Amino acid sequence: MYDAYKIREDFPILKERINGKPLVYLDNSATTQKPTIVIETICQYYRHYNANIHRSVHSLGIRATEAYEKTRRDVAEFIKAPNPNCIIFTKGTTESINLIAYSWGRKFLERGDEVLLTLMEHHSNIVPWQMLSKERDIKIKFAPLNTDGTLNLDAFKNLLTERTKLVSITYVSNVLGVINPIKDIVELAHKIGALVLVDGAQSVPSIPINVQDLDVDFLAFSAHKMLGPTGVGVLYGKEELLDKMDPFLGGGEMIKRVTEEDFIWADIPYKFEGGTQNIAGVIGFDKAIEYLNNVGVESIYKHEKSLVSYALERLLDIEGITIYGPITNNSRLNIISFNYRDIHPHDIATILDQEGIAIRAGHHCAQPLHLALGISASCRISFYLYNTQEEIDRFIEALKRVDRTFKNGNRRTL
Amino acid sequence: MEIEELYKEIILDHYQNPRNYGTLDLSSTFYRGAYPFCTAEGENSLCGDSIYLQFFVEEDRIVDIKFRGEGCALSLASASMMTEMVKGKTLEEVTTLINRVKSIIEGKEKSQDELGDFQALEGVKNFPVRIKCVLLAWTVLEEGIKDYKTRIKKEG
Repeated sequence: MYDAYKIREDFPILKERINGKPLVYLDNSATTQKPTIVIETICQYYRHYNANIHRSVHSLGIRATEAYEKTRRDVAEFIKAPNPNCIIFTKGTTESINLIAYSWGRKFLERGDEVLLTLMEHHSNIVPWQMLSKERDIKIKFAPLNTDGTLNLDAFKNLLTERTKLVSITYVSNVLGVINPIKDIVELAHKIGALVLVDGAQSVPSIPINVQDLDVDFLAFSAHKMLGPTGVGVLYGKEELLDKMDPFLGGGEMIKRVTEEDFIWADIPYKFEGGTQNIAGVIGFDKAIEYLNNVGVESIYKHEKSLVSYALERLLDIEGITIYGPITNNSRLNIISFNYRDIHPHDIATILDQEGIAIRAGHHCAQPLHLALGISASCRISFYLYNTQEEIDRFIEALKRVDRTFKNGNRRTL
Repeated sequence: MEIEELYKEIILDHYQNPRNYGTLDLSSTFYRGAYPFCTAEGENSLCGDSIYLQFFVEEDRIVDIKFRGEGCALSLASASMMTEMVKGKTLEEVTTLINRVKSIIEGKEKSQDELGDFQALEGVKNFPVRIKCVLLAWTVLEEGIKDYKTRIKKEG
């Protein structure tokens, strides 16, 4: 039996009081909280075996290297990658996507080639391509959405051409919570010879992933959105693709040999890990994965689905709520973005914060999507394994009270 | 601090019934002698709040000002109050006022109750993330005045 209350005991921060009220943390899409075991593991590393990895023959260095490499194996197992060499540690999803744009895009994209995105992408899956397009004169296309916020698959198919070299798409929208049919998308893309990069920042924490079954070419995600520390990200890539790519950052660790004239770079994954990595973070991340495995990602997925259904039901009960994206939980994961009457999201977030409730307000790094929705900002709540129905109730009651602060009713239409 | 101290009646009033909202009527005879016509805009990239200002300067004085914008109650109320406060003042007076407002909102100086309605927004200094909202209109105006001065210099 899934017990969120028991899980909560492992997260010290959830006992905090904010403005005198118990914390209700509903900003998990921005970052998740960390269980004690992750925090402790990072401290343990610094207290007992802090050393640089891969280049020290002393005991501390060996222990640190072993712990670091264990994470790589566990991450590979977590997403069912064929082997640990396909796992590259980065600073986060953003860096992982930039790495592909830089090391793969610069080498293989030519003038006139197309990169197909969707309108629901996070800025981190838009801007790297725009930067590249300025340099390489490639074309960026955006697949539109249906009125319910799901991806318009017919339009997507029409935008796939023989010039499309890469489809770069999020698995789950960080605004709409929409789950994209990645398997179908990969099939369509591969049929015309395009590769697929999946932004898994929102999905890997909550959906059991099998990269071989999905047949994705690249997958990017962040540790901090799945109980791990900030500053650690993952790039998974098919081995043959990673082999063909040039390095990303030049420096230590990524070379086999350097002379005054030239260098020979290392094999994957080290080729892409120039400089001293976030060793403590990677080691801490291992415990996050262990924790998620113990609870079971499938169980977390079901828990989130039930929370989102409940929250949708309660929100739709309130007069003046506008919900973006599908209003059933069929194609929606753990995220709901909304507006309440014409009260600005910032005002709502500030007022809820006074009640100890943490939500996100703004454009959530997805301005093209907000533009398409015809709004400049929205409120967002997002759940994770430790959230409860009781917290949703507290949020709903507080939301209703926002109205009281704006006692005079609606703003004059301008 | 209670939330009502941030969202005071007067702030909500300016938000719900903003003063000097809209655009200036350029065909009006009133503006014929005024020179030049200035615009300035800015946004808070963090949250997407935006403010667009238009103002006329005559003999170094802001003779009229209007704003349009999108944003939260604090940023729009602040803009509304600002237009009332700066209208009729010389550019020098306005610049002094902008600096004073910034210092007060950032908590560096205490107000001497000289700011009228705007006094109500002083409470924002206890909500650090919202300071940017309140100061948005003011920084836009500051930029607008700077632009105006460079233009005057260039045109001699």
